[in-house]
Amino acid sequence: MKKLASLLLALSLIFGLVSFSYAEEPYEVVIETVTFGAEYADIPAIEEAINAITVPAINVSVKILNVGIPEHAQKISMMIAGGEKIDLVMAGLTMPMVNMAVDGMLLPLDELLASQGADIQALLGDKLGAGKVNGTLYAIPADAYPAQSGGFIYNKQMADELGITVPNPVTVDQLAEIFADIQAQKPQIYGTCFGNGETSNVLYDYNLENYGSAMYAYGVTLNQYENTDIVNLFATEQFREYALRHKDWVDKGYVPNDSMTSGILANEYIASGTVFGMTTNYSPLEAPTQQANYTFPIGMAEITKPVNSTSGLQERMWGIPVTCENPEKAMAFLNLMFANADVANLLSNGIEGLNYQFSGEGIVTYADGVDPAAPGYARIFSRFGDQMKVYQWEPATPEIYEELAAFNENAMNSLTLGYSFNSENVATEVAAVTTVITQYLPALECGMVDDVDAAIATLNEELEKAGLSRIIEENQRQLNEWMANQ
Amino acid sequence: MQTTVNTAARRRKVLRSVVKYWPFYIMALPGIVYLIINNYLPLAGLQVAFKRFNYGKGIWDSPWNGLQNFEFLFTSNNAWRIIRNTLLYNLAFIFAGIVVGVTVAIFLNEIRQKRALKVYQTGILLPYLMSMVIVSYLAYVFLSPNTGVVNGLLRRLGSSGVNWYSEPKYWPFLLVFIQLWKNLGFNMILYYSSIISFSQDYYEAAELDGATKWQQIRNITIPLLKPTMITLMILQLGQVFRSDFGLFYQVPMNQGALYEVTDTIDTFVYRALLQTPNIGMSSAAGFIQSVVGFLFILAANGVIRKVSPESSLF
Amino acid sequence: MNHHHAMTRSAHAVLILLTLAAIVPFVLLIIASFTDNNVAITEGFSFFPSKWSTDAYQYIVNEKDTMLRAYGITIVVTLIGTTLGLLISVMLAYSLANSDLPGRNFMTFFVTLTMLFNGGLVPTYLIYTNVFHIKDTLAALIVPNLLMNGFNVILIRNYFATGVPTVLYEAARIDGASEFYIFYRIALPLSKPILATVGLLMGIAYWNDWQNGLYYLNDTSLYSIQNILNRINENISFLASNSTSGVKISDLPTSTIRMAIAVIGILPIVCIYPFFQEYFVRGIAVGAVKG
Repeated sequence: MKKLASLLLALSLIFGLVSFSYAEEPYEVVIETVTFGAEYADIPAIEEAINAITVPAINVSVKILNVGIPEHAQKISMMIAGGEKIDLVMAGLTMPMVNMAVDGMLLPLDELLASQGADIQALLGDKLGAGKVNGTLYAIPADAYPAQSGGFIYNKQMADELGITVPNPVTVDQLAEIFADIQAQKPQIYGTCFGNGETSNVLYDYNLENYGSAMYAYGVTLNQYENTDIVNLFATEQFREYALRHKDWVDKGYVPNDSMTSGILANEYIASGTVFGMTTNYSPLEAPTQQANYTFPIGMAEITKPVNSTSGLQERMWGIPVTCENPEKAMAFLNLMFANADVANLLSNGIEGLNYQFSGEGIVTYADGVDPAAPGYARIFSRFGDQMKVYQWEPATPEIYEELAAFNENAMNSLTLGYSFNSENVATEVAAVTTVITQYLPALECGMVDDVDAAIATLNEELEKAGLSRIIEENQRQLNEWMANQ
Repeated sequence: MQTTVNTAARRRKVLRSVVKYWPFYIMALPGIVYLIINNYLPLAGLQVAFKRFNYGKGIWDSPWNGLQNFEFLFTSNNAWRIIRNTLLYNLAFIFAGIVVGVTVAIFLNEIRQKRALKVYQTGILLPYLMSMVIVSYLAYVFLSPNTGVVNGLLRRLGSSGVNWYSEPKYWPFLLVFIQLWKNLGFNMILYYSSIISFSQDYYEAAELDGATKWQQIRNITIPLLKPTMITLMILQLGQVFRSDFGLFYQVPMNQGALYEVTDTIDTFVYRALLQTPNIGMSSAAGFIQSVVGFLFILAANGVIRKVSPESSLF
Repeated sequence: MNHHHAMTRSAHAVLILLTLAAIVPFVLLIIASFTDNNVAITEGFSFFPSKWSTDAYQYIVNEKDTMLRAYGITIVVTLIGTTLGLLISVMLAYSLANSDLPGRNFMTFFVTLTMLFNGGLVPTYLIYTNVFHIKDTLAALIVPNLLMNGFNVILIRNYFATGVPTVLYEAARIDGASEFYIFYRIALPLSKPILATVGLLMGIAYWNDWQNGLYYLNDTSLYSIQNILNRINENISFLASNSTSGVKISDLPTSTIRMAIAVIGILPIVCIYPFFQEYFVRGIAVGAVKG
């Protein structure tokens, strides 16, 4: 195919069909935006506005590829397998970045970054380490302010009505007292809810690094800001405490006892007013985004300490797929996106006046005439550019930028920041361990076991047979090797 | 010498009949071409089961890794559980599907009122049109421990109700029942369309001889339906190592407490690869499912060819 | 004659029971789709919800322009796909049913094998996109996987082999009719009941398909109704589980929308199905005549 194309090109040059300036035609960078899959009518206008900046600056034009998140993993891997041109993909969001790298989907970026990515290096610094696999850079963190902690989100209106104050920060024991208070005053309202148990909440109660496995299949490091030992979470005293606490809360009636099967998510219960609150991610951006979901005022309190960790950074990263035709230009565009506030805002928020308007300093809301249920453009799961330069949406206030900067400055760095685990050598064990965890963890999460200690013992016995210790050994070996090279 | 003459003669004869039957080959051609494109060419992808797949290198150039992709299915101590569940449920589905499908089709054939026929047929087909996700929600309305219709009835009868989603013992029955209920419309239509093609002569003759309805069914309808039953059975045996993901994952609401009786090969593979998608491993599982199905079909077809050659598939 | 009536009566009784067993959950589905979402969350679905609501449908109607277009695409795709698929299936099946045809066993085996082995999504995708370039065309919704399958071919073959007496063909051959004429004028009309059955199965498969649209279309303007319904459903579950956009969870019919979507997906088939049944009834008439 390539030969044929170059032959055709040569022929057309000979016959003067293409002018000699062909080589300087702008390179079209296909960049994906991960959404719910809805059509956005304003994408062509936004592309045009971006091109007006990027063509003169770096001779790159842009094409926005809108991919729905449910089909994202399948669709992107098929497009890459099919040799279809994509230049910038969101790694980590639906497929672990490390797997994408070792499966050969992504190009190595070290040289490209050195030649084209000066602004990226200046902005991200140490955080770039999170994009490395076996010492080679494969992805660029999409968010330069990724510190997170665990917290509790609750119905502020209900708290006020019942005369309850949730301290910030809050401990799980204080939460238990609050739930007891709610039960005494309003027996029909539950303190909290654990959903169906398929996503674990342990990381909101304890500081831990999970190395990218949301089910703790790679082992964990507790208090990762001062510790580098990788252990089996389910054998720790913390997990036992956690499981016993959840069972206790279920027994005391603080939790709806059918949430494992009812198919109703915890935040739906909260929105409907039957549940007071739940544990979740905490960061300054979290409260305004969450507030937009509820009709009543919400409050948030912090449970764990804010930390910068590899797994946090790896949730959203930019990678250049092997099907990219001009990686230099793709990297040049990525660099410009981090450096240029206008490009970042066009990709994040659309066009001023058409998609958004200012309602405060650096704060935007929908432009007049936009139907929030069917906007002409919206950024949903992707992150474009430097979040300090990207306008935030109401109900955030202009102070958000300072809060975000302070939160990230105060956050501790995980000692393993920049290390990622490559599970390739233990793929069989990972698969087996994952089946064991998916069988036993949800019931423990939801406090739906009769005998917590017996259930944990069975879980650990099965995990041992499935090879969890081999995974942890391999992970620790890779980590030690990495630390030795620092 | 004798044999060469014979082979040559046979070859000529085959050639003659091939020429004679050319219109049939022409008619078969479009379908065969489609199957080659849609089903046979992609079979090259089966090699991924034995490879460490790399997107940069593609299907052909990825390195071989022997049987490594298959290991995860067998190192687990649940291998026996998922194989047993998959096989036993499928055998139950095949058996129950034939018995109930044929019975209902025969009943349907007794109905002469056009309107009633339409209502029955459309009604019984309804569950076949629903997705398993919807079925799982409807099942929950009946089986919910707190608000469920069934427990409501049980409580009215003085019982304390059953915690359906944590008691494995009920699920083998529930799953077979739901599968039957959902696919009855499909099975019924298949057998019914056969029954209505049978010549009425047999029945008229039987009636003249004073045969009862039951005798007619036993001696005419069922023997005539036998080839259809056998064909469907053989084809379903080919799927004996596969399972409907929705039925075994969504309907029991993915409850770990029920896995002993609900975990099948497909739900197991789904859970194993939930975190780290791996094309090699999922191809390996699919490969085993295909090979076992293939062996079952060959065996069943072989037996049938011995017992009643005209019913065998090939 | 008495036992005949008994037989018919018990047939009615059994079929009425089965129809009820099928219809009652469907009625429940409809009731669920009209239940108030908060009631659904706090009290669960029931036959007698304490509060009714049309929110789920109103949410879907928000997309009515897209939906009308998508309905059109689904109808076109279903009609073309079913017709084309039936044609190539019935021609292949008719050939396979001819027990004198040399290579018939091998061909049947060839067809059966396709039901067992598949190369997986990626190789199929590569062939259709890199060789046939069907991405973002209507053919992408019609051709991959759905056009023909071994199961249907074997079903039709079986019908020809057992349901249609070969003497009819022989008579025509003696009269000097060509094989194509015999196929078209004798075999096809006699196979109406099985064509109605297989056509129904194929039609349902086309109607319900969303995977082809998902993988082979980047251009969402070609989305079929199932793609749209699927998207609405996924949007709403993601809106509910992620806090990213300005839509309030409490405004979303998160629980009831799936039910409304299912109702909208099923109803058209339920309306069309009785027309299909005419073929079954005609099949009986043909059967009676040919004897």
